[in-house]
Amino acid sequence: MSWFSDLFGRHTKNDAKQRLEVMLIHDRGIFDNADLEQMEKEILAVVKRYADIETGAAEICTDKLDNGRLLLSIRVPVRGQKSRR
Amino acid sequence: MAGQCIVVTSGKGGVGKTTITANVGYALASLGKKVLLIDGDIGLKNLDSVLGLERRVVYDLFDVITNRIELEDALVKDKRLPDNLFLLAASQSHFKEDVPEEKFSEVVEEAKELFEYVLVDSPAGIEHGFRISSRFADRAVVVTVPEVPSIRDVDRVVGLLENYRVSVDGVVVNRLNQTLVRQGNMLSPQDILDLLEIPLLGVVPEDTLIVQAVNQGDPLIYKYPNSAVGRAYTNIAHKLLDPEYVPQETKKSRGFWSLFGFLRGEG
Ligand SMILES: Nc1ncnc2c1ncn2[C@@H]1O[C@H](COP(=O)(O)OP(=O)(O)OP(=O)(O)O)[C@@H](O)[C@H]1O
Ligand SMILES: [Mg+2]
Repeated sequence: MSWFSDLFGRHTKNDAKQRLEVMLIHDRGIFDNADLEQMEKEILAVVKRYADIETGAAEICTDKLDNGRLLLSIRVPVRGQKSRR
Repeated sequence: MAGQCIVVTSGKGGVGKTTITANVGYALASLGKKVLLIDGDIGLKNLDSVLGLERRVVYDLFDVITNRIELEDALVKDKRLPDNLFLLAASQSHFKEDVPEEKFSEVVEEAKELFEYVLVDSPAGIEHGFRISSRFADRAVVVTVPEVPSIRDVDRVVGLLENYRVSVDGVVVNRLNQTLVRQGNMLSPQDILDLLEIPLLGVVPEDTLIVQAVNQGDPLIYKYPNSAVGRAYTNIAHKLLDPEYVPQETKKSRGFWSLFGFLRGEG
């Protein structure tokens, strides 16, 4: 019976696995846009204390890693040393 | 005594949290640990009846947090393991929201002074009841059945537990049906591990013996310690005590232990 269903039956567990893979990646998108914007502001405020940065060109974004985890990255172009008074 | 609090939780309801809390708690107590089980499902309460202790409950969590009685005097002693296993029952006449977080935290802290292991049976969901049961735990056991909605909820709950800084021991896959797995019609424990990012703590087969044990008012592990399910609970207890623990393979039980093959790196 088992080899029979192995050969001819539908392996519903594969459906389950594929559906879960998609769901989990989607669910793990943990930040909404308002969160990201606020976080960017706060992070830039800190970096500004240490370097002269191009605030307008800064970028914060999330990516999916191969293992399904989320990668949070921030790109901040730095002009140079912080200007001293 | 600087005990540890372990929450048994799941997100999705009805997947086996209460059964696992009772049986794994019993197994830990049988292994000589001093164990308190707290029923965190305030308003419903199940743990007392799974343990068959319902007639002996006089006081509950609510009496403790309202200072009507000292924690020690509110506990029900399990006569099957009288020195090691105790229950703090939930109240049926209150709602989860009636229990303030800081009060629950005080109970957990006090219980950790008296016991080596404090197991909290969390209610389903991710609302207040889950939050108070989980927040003050040191460690968590997350329960799932091998089905899509339950596994999805585990992932969500693990994220919340990480936010609470609770260390997740791993997932227990409950109600596994080997026949369905062999047919390719049920996710195997390995499939589930591939999807989630937490270790496997144990696999409990689907078994109607559970119904018989609950009918009789005894935890399955007390009645049928050598059944496959009974041994699964004991193994989870061992793994909680020692994450490196590897279940021993015995002739009689090879079919079942083969489930654990991949734990030993065979799969
Ligand atoms: N391994 C198993 N085999 C068969 N039946 C089981 C198994 N584990 C649990 N059950 C049954 O599943 C049902 C739900 O179990 P339980 O009450 O422990 O779940 P729960 O997660 O605590 O539920 P809730 O979310 O409502 O608190 C019960 O009827 C129980 O007897
Ligand atoms: Mg329950």
